[in-house]
Order: sequence, then C-alpha cells, then structure tokens
Amino acid sequence: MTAPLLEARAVAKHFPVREGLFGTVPLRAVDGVDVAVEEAETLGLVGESGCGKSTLARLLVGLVAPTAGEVRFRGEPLVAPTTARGRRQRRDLQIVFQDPYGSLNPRMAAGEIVGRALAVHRIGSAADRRRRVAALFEDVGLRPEYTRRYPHEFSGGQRQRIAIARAIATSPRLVVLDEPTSALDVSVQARILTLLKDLQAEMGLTYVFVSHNIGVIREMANRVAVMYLGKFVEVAPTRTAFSAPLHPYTRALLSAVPSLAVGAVPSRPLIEGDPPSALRPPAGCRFHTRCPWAQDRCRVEAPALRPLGSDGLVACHFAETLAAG
Amino acid sequence: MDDPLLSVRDLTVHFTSGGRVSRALDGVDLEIRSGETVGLVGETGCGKSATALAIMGLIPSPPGRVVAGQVLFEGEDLLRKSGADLRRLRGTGISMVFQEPMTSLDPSFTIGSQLAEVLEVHRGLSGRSARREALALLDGVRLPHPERVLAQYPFQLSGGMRQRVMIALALSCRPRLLIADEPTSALDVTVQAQIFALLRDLQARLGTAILLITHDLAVVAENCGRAYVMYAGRIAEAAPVAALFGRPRHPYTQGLLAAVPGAGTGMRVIPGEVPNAAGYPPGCRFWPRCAHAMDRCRDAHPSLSEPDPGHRVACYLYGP
Repeated sequence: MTAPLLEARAVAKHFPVREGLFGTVPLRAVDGVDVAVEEAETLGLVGESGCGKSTLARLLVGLVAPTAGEVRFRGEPLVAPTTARGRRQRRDLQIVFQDPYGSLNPRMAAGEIVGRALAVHRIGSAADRRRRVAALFEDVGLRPEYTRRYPHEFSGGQRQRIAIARAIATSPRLVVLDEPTSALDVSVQARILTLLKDLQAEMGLTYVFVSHNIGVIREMANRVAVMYLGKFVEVAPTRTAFSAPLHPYTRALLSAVPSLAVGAVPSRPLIEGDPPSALRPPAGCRFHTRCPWAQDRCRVEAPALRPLGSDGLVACHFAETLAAG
Repeated sequence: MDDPLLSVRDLTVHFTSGGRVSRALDGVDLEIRSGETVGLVGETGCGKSATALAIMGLIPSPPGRVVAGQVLFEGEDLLRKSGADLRRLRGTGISMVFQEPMTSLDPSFTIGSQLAEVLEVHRGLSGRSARREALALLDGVRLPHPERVLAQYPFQLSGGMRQRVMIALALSCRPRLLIADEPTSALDVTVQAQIFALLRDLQARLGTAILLITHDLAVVAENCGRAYVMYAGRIAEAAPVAALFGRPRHPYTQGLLAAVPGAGTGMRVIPGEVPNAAGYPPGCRFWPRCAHAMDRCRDAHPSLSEPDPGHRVACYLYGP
C-alpha cells in the first residue's frame, strides 16, 4: 500500500499562555490528531472558532512545528525549510488564508507577490517568471495588466485570486485553504469556489479545505473531519456526515445551521452556551459539558476515534445508541 | 389593514467623497408593521446598512446627505425631527443592535454601569430599582449568573454573551422597533442559533417589530415573515419569505439563491461584479449581469410591479 499524500500522526500543538505570576498554562489548540489525506481528494475541516482547525491547517503545511507527533508528506517527515528537502516539501505544500488584506504585502505589486513564490524557489529565469506570472493571472481570472497594481487597488475577491495564484505558482501537490471565502459575499464566494474546483480538476490538486461554513464544506469536500476543542470528533464522507451525523456535536452543529428550505422549522439550538476554554478542556469527553446525551462515563473516560458504519470514524461512547434512537 | 409602524418612502441618500457622488440609496420604499420581523438582505455595498442608519437619523453628514424621501415612524417624519427629539426616540421608539458587540459596548465601564446609564436616561430609574431592572433584563436574555455579569467588563464576556447584553440594552426601554444589523455575523453558528431563538421568544413576549439586516439568505428564510432584497441602492424584490424563496422573481434574487453553496442544486455563479455606487449603469443596475436583459433595461430603471399580491419586483419581465 502506498503512503497517503499527507499524513498527521498524533499531532499536537500547545501554545504557552501566561497565567498569574508563576509561568504559563498550555493552550491545547490541537491535541492529538491523526489524519491521512489522499491524492486528489478534498478533505474538509469544520468546527467553530477556537476548535483548532486553523492551527491544524498550519501544522499540515509545516508553518508551525508540532509540540508532539509528526506530519509526513509522501511518507517522509516534514523537515525545516533550511534543507533542500524542506524547500522541496514547501513547494509542494501551499496555503491560502482567509484574510486577503493581511496575507498580501501592501508594498508589493500583485505581480511581484506572485513572482516571489517562484523566485524563492529559484524557478526559471526572470523573464520566464514574468511570463509565468502573467499566465497565472489568467488562470485565476485576473487580467495580465493587473500584475502592476497594488493589493489595495483590488476588491476582496480579486485579492483572494492573487493569493490563489501565489499558492499555485510553484505547481504544488496539496493546497490548504483556510477559510478562503469567509470574508466574501455569497456571489463572490461562488466564483472563488468555482475557480478552486476548476484548478483542482486541471492540476490534479489535493485540498484541505478549512471552513466554519457547512454549506461550503458540503459543496467542496468529499470527506469531512469535524473538530471540537483540538480533537476530531467525527471523520466521514461529507454526504453521510451531514445526512446521518454520528457524533452529538456534529448533530448540534448541523441543527444550528439555518436552512433555505421554505417552511423549514427555525433551527433550535441543541446546545447552549459557548465551548469551554482550550486552556482547561473538560476531563473525559471534551463535549460532555454541552452534550444533551452525556452519561457518567463521558465525564471520566475520553472516547477514542473509532470506526463506525461502513466508512465513518467517531469519538463517542454512545454513538451506536444515538444512531439507533 | 393597520397603518405601518415604519414607512420609508422614496429614501435617497448620497455620499460625496473626492468630488464623486455615490448614490448609496435611490428611492427606497420599505414598510414594517407592528410586531413583524422583516428582513433586509443583500451583498456588501447594496445599501442595507445605509438604510438602517438613515432610519435612525445617523447618516454622517458630511459626507452623507439625505437627498429625498420620508421616514415615517408612527406617522411622523423622522427626517424632520430635531436632534433632541430623535435622541428621545432612540431607545424607546427604535433601537439598534450592531454586528460587533465589542465595539458598541464601552470597554472601560462594567456591564452594570452601562445598563444603569440607559435605564436612568430613558426610564428615570436609579439606585436599587435600576439594579433590579438590570438584573431582570440580563435574566431576560438568558445570561447565566446575571449578578456576576453586572460587575464584568465587555472583554470578560464571549461574543455571544456580549450580543445578549446588547440585546438587553436595546430592549431595556421597550422599543416598538428593533433594528438588528448583522447581529450574528461575528458569531459561531451554534451561538447564532441561540441568539435567534432568543430574539424570536422576546418578540413573541414583547411584540417588538424587528428589521433584520443580513447578508445571509437562510437567516432571513428562518426568522422573517417578509423580506426585501436590495441591489445597488435599490429594492429589487419584496415578498413574504415563502414566496421570495419558493418562487424568486428577480433575476438577481434567483442568482443570489443559486450562488449559495452546498444546497445540492448545483452552485451557479452570477457573471460580472457589483457596480460601484459612484458609477451605476443607466437603467436597471443589474442589466450588465442579467441573462434576461432587454433594450429597455438599459434606458430606465423599472419600477416595482406586483406579479402576485404582496410580491413586488423591480424588473421589466413582470411589468413597467
């Protein structure tokens, strides 16, 4: 069996947070995640603010180093970009961020921004790079003469196209998309999502698509991983995860999403309050403090992520009971 | 039928910047009756927030200017009222909840003192009676441990809790109309569901009419009785939500619904981009992006016609 394109093994990222007079407490942003991303699929990562999905996204492309565990690309551990292999890995692993203002250098023309990705990796001569940048602009639906404009001269949707052009400049194998359309209006979002689908088909790209938006994940991902407080609670093909969710949190999340269906009953929250702090995650199952079905066992014993049904994984002691009733 | 609580007629607002005039609102008509929830939906820059600010008398001038129109609240034109009259009306007649509760609460005062100030200014309560009422208000928006919240500062609360405080503040003077401008756009979806459940319950109890401004069509579908769709400073379509989402008439509304991802019907894209408010095309502002555009669409803007009772559309496919 060949290794998956990208794989995380028990990966964790803890950030030290100052507390009181005496030192620090770890914020467990990602706290033990195993995941394998297969060639040409789109894996969706969904969850609410603070669940760790953006930190996991950065771990997967080697932008932050894990506190524990490891990330492997094509069977080899990610190494620092100071080595030749590390640089090669970063050519193959790219990322697009949510905020197209913050992620583009305001002092550089759009063409330079995209060209730098090529220059850093010493791809082609200066003239080659200019031609390639013009071609990339066309690929993402921007006019070639826009290469001379600066980020502030573009709309939000256009800036995101520039960020996408930069990400695909090095002909990567996998692109992590971290909320790429969350700052955009729905009609602009539809155009960016369509562009991403087209690029994936043309270049055979693999995506890890991070979003809090269930509709976007449903549209883009074959498979989805639902995160809560730094851990996966459910991993399943998107279709089954969203039509027959196994984990109570997935259910709660889906029930909270408003529906366009005429005559639909207004969504009633299945859960109250906010998620607990990742500084002090609850003992046992992390969702037990908000879970309407929590039992004594959930308060003490953390459920492992285990197979259920034909192709799903779930971390819940009582998933079978819930699925039956 | 009852007179509407709020009737906006032919509202036209311009913003001037660098010698260029942006026609933010152009002949907007909108009505809200007592106790109903009305949606105002559209994309960035369509004029939905400008409509709210104009109703509240909060259009910054300069650069903004109300060029024409009326804002009739209980029959009186707010655009002709003095600043003092308007201030009295804000809170007791109309009040507002904004998207970002962190910036609309004062960071340097406790929740308790901010509530007390409102209760004193608008309702003449002070001391123990103000505190009792403040506790009741926080309890009314289902904040756990209201006594503790009174002593807390905004930064100590989560986004959802802050928005509950804002709603408590906005409803503290029993307004007849609440304008909620993207009240949950900064919140997670499970918190959003809690906030809307709360608003529905409060409305059933207090009978407050709500103007819900949002970019999220599904939020409108679930929470509103009727809705207006805005495009480029004009009303494109207005209808009860069942008709609006069951049988959208305006090509823009149809395009917007088709652009929603994950609906299972195949996401489609509206060609072109929203025009700039300083350079709207002549005629219907949507024609450059419209698959049905005819010659007349380029000449003059269509007025609202009514293909079904209560369902109005500004499009030549349905009338003059």
